[in-house]
Amino acid sequence: MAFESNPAPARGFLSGTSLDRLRGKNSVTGTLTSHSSGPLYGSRPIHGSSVLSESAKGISSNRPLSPNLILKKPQLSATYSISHRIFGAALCTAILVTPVLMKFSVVYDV
Amino acid sequence: MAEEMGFLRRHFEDVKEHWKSNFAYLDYYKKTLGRREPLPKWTDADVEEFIASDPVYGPQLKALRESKKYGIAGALLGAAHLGGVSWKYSKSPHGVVLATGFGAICGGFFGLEVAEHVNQLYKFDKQAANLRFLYWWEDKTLGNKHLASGAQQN
Repeated sequence: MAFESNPAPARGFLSGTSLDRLRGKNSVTGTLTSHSSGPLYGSRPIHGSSVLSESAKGISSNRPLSPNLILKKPQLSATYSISHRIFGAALCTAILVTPVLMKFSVVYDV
Repeated sequence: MAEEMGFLRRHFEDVKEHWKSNFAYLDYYKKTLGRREPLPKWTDADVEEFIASDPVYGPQLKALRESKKYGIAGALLGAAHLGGVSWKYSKSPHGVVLATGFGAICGGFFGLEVAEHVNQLYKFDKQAANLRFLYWWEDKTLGNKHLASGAQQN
């Protein structure tokens, strides 16, 4: 599957990856695929051994991600870091958007 | 007098006028957006009437209104281009939406830059042209009413 005829957004997120193969169906059409000769349920792997994509070889699909934010206790330093990035992004956005708005407002009666 | 003030205060007095002139452009938004009660609605016919009546600011406002279509055409072109490239090559649907929006903003900005040169908008004060119309409309619709309470309203 080196080349896809459809563009990726039309195919849908993560379609054609191991997640679909784990589910045993095509996420776009919703039809069950009969790619395995054996029984579909009861034989599929819990921890996916198939690759997600060509660029992420060896990464199985349903491992827990690290850091697992559900399990981790919220700490002051982490909260500071997260809010620091959020406010930084908001400040950047405001600084970038202000001259754009000023230019458009003069022409478009705003 | 200067000896009585501290260092910071003296510095503030020195740079106060300079910063006042730096932020003078905000006056436009105070006059357009900061009104206590909004002006009555106007239509395109009213703007055409002002353009025909004012020999100085009428042509300027006409050039401003004609440059609208450059911005819209640029926005459509930019959205189609960046959105099309991301549609073809991107793997994330939300990235396509974001790229289309960003292309529209950039294309609209660039289209207005083109209009700036085609219609020679750089030759005049665009905010002043808009304000002249607003003042003319205010005088026409409200008459002398706004002068009575104009001191607080500005």
